[in-house]
Amino acid sequence: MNEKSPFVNRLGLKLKQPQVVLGLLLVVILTGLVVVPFLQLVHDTAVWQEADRRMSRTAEPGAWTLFHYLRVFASPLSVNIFYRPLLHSLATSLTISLTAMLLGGLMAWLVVRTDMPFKKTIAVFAVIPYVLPSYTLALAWLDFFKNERIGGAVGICTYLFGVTPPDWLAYGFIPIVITLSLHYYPFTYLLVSGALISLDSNLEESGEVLGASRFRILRRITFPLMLPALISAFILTFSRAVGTFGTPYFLGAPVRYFTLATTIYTSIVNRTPAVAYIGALVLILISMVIIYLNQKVIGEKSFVTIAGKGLRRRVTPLGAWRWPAFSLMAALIGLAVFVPLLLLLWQTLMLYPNDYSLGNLTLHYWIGKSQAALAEGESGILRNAQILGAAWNSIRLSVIVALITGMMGILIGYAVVRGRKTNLAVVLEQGSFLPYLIPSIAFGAIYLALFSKSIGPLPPLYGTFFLLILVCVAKNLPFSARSGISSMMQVAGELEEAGMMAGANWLQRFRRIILPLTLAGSLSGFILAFISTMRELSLIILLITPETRTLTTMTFRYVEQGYSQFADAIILLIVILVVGGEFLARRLGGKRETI
Amino acid sequence: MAMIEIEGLTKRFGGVTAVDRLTLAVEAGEFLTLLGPSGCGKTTVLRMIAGLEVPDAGEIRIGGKTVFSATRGLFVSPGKRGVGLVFQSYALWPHMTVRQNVAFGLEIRKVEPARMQKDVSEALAYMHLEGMENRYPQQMSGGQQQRVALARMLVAGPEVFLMDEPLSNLDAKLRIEMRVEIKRLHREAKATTVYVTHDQTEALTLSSRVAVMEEGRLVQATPPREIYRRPANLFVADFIGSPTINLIPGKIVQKNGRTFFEGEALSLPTPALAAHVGAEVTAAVRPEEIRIETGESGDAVSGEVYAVLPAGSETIVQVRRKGRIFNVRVMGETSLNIGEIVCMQFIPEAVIFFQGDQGNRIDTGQE
Amino acid sequence: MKRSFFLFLVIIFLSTLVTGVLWGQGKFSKETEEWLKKSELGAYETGVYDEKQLFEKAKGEKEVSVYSYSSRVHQFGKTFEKQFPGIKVNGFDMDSTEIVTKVLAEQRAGNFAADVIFLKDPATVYNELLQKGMVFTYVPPDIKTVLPERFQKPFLVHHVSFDTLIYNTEANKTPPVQSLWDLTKPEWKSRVIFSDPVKMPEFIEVLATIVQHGDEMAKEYQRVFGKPIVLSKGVQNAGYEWILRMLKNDAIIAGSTNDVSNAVGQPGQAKPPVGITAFSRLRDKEKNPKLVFDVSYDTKPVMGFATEVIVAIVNRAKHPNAAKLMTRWMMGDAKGGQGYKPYFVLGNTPVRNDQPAPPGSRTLGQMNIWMADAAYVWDHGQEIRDFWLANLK
Ligand SMILES: Nc1ncnc2c1ncn2[C@@H]1O[C@H](COP(=O)(O)OP(=O)(O)O)[C@@H](O)[C@H]1O
Ligand SMILES: [Mg+2]
Repeated sequence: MNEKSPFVNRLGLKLKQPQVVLGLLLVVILTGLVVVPFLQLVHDTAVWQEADRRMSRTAEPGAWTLFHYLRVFASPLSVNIFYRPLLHSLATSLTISLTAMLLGGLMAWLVVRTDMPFKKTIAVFAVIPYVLPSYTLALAWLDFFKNERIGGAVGICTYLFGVTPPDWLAYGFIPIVITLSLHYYPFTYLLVSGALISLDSNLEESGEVLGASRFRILRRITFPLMLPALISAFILTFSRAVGTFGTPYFLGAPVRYFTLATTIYTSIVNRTPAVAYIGALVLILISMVIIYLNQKVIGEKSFVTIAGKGLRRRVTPLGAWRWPAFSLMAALIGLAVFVPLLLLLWQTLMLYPNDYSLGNLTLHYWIGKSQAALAEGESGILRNAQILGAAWNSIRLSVIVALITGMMGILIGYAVVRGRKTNLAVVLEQGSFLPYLIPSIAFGAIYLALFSKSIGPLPPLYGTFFLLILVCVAKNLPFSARSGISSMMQVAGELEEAGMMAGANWLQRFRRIILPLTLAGSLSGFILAFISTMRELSLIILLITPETRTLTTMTFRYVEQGYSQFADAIILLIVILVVGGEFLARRLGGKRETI
Repeated sequence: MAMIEIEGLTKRFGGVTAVDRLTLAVEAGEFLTLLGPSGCGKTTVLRMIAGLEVPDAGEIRIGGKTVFSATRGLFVSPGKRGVGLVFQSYALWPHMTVRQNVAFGLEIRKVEPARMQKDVSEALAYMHLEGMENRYPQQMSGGQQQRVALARMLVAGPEVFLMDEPLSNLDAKLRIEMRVEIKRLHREAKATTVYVTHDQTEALTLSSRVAVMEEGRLVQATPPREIYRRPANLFVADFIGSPTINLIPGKIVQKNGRTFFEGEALSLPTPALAAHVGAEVTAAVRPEEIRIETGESGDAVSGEVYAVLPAGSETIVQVRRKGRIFNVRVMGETSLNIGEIVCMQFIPEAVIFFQGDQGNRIDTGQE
Repeated sequence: MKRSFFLFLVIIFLSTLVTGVLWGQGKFSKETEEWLKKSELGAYETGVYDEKQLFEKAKGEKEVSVYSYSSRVHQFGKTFEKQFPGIKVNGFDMDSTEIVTKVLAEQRAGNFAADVIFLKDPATVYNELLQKGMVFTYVPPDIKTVLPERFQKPFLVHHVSFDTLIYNTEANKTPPVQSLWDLTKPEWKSRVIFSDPVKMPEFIEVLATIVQHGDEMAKEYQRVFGKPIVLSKGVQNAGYEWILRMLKNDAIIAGSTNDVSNAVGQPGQAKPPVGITAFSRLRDKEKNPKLVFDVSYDTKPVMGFATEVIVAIVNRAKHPNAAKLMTRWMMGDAKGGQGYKPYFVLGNTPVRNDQPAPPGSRTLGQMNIWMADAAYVWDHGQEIRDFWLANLK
């Protein structure tokens, strides 16, 4: 009589399985981190906000309204606050993606498949641009091409050549595309070179045997086989570019060249958040459409590995083109990495901007004491309590986020891999991909919407360091989940079961068996989270408050105030921290694996 | 009371029923082998006994204690069942040394260090692993890894040993060596052992009892000799023995008041089957139960030598008769040539019969 | 009889209104009331300023957090710490809008981090914070006599800052622009730099002030062009029309007032632009002696637009006494004073009538300016912002 029903038994037993418990827990966390904020954002676009009282006397905070949608899509402002920025977003992102694909694809081919000199060196430097904050190049660009339009000192270009760069070269579409292409090409480089490495030359050679010309082989065999990698690179680049805030803001704002991302920011600053949220929704929609198209076009093929055993790689002799090819690649890397960093360094050493004489060189902006006459009396960055505080925040944030995200990645990997193909595992695997769909600035907007109010017993988290951790963890989850899943795949289930047989409980098994075995494989997840948090601006710009400032937001602030020396010095500081952090992590962890 | 009692055990994976209402008892100290073709559910049964898989229905008792019961919603976790398991892949932890691998279970059970040290050393010595304590599994040969896996199981002193095809990853020579080792282990530890294999020789040489499984169901669980001699059905008959048993479909008929088996290629007197006249049956003869003679004679049947396959101490001769191939085992070497006409002599008592429709053995009351 | 009854009604009505307003102002949460009482603020102010006593109390509070629109918070913070040892100043500089957003969020969150706010955009602060009891005005009693009434209510005004037209003195011996309307002429196409009102709310105040004075703008148009102004379609008055035409003339929008002065004052320019920026940028010349620009003092109809910079104490601040002390420190003394020093500069106008104008600067009365009207700004600010956004190229 008091026997439990079989159903309850089943459920009880299921709930004893750690991957089920963990899976459920993670799905709940994911819901809290991604789904709920998203719903809140949608909700907020359709109700009156407190701040709307300024805009409409009929505003009734909390009541439903279509006001924001009308304002964005069908008002006299629409062109300026929506349609034009949308156009700019699409135009820049598309051009950037295509240019980056071209650069990265070419570099990959040259490095993997030709006899270009110094291939190894090129390969080492090829990925550095991606490690730098995305707007490093933008700031360097300004240092070089700045003209009178934006005020302050004109750039080095004017000084060196005596010509003032026209607006179209100094600001807007052209520089945004160039700088971001140089920043994003490593995506394509890594994906395509990976695919090229695992592409068996036999496939090409069999074409050759059939008498096809080299170009024909490239076009009919190599290229189609590379297509999945290229398309993945395109998606990756596009979805990043469309959500990036820093570069379009620094290079676009002076000529009022706004993109959706920068419009979202200004709308928040103007306290018309609902307008920003609608922009964010549109960005998410664009990302989703792109990813959907991707799956439609290449479908299953996207992750097929072409690798076989004992593959051979054929090297195409470049002949007379060897050195020109090398020079081109060296120039590319020089432009993407060394020139900008040197420009920034130079800028930080100039006491007065615009004065390029030797006598004007100074270390004031690095180590100088406060001087009332300079930069509102702020002291050099290595002496400046605020900047050091921000640096500490940045380091703290990046390390904590890397640890939490990496750990969650492993846990997700565990729940997904051990859950085999159960519904829960599938939901978790796909759910962890969701943040990828949401562009950074939109993600920040969502968190602002949700966490500036109290939710149930939770106080409003806006302004807390914890919120920054949350948002960075959530945004970095797709990557760490991916590396967690793949490293968990390498760990046979029986290794854990052997632990069960030995009587180890889940925690013991996790700590003593699973963690040690997955850590090395998940390292890239940790490092990636560290790097991207360290240089993150788009994601947190809306959530930062004075106490929680990071180096990136300090840079942003100094750029806005026109203190390029400080801004540039901080960027260099970030670069040092990122490179140092990565180096340290690799030393601790071992093998190299990027993205 | 049996050491392991399994009742109505069922496990489904999605649409596949991996184990179907399996009922089995393993006596204390017994060495029981689960035998069957790959995919028949052996591993699943073993894993359910170990507690690594949750059954859908049924009950399992180990040492009189219920460790799983679907109706009572009872599930005892693997570590608390007092069983040890050797995985097919050994599942040694690659980040731990041999010593750490073996000591892990004791650490978890919080055995005091001195005692642990002693136990681990003993187990390693027992498995002839002295001097390898600080190696990592990757630095060892397959046989050595196997020994570590066994040592790891032994050290916790389980009452029941579970082994899942432990020898399948070893080469032939090592396999024989380890077979002896396992037999010694069983004898000395006196632990109830459930051993999974798809290798019948292994099963027949090691076990005190063999349980043959087919598509998730238990077909027969009897001592090896009986499995071989009196297979419960056609499946077992066909599965056990190498080369495979000779099967001849036919019918039981009455001729001149005597009962005969009438097959396509063979006709035999079968007085014991008088009750089955008119039934469709399959006659089965082990290869070693056929004798070959050159030239024709008495009630022997003739055939043509189709192939001669020498295998050292014995030779398998394939004889074709009326389009059917008969396997015949001949001790030592033979001078038969292909194409030669030979005579096959059947010993009627050694022929077993199976029902034509269900394939169950027809009990002739012999033996 | 009838008449006096009517009067009676009016008096009743007025007094309910007054008490209503007063009561409305007094209708704070219990916690706020208690805090006000404890901090001797609002209705519980004592009316005496005893700095010693205040310092004693403030010492126990140990620190004070100031959200400031200006980075100079670090300067007066430092002198404060020297003057009142034992009290640490946490100065945070951010945009005025950011301060409002932040205080709103903190108040909602019950996380009372800020003690003093120091910012522009009184209209927003009034409507979104003061009226809701999220900030309180504290006028140190000892300076009440030296402050004109309008700088005490509704807010304590710290100083008045101006936004004005500047020009390059290297290329022009005299101001090249005589009237605001000149900026809409073809010769100034792409040569007018305006500070971005979307980012800096004080320039919304500037625009609103121009719109508010639409009639005068129309008169000035007539004077400059010799014919009455013809408004573009859908444009309400000459003020809006000026904004529209200036934008149509490809005005350049600068992200900060600093950028404007730098762009205009850069030496060696053949056709330098003019710009509308903060008067106080004049001090940039002291820092970077190479800059060559000056304020155009005689622009018509006005040479500048005055906006107020205010100080307030945040509701339920954790360090109310230190906040009071800080407020007082910021207001300086008759000679300027240490606390006020960072603002005692060319281009800012003190509000204390016992203070002289900073050297080189002119006093309020000497200049032809329009004062921003907070109520008007509040009512029309968003409309003007939208107008601006809609007509940006
Ligand atoms: N985890 C699982 N998920 C799905 N099907 C499984 C799983 N484990 C076993 N099976 C299926 O159950 C059946 C029995 O498997 P198993 O017990 O491993 O067979 P054996 O060990 O006898 O080779 C097979 O059909 C197998 O495919
Ligand atoms: Mg198996």
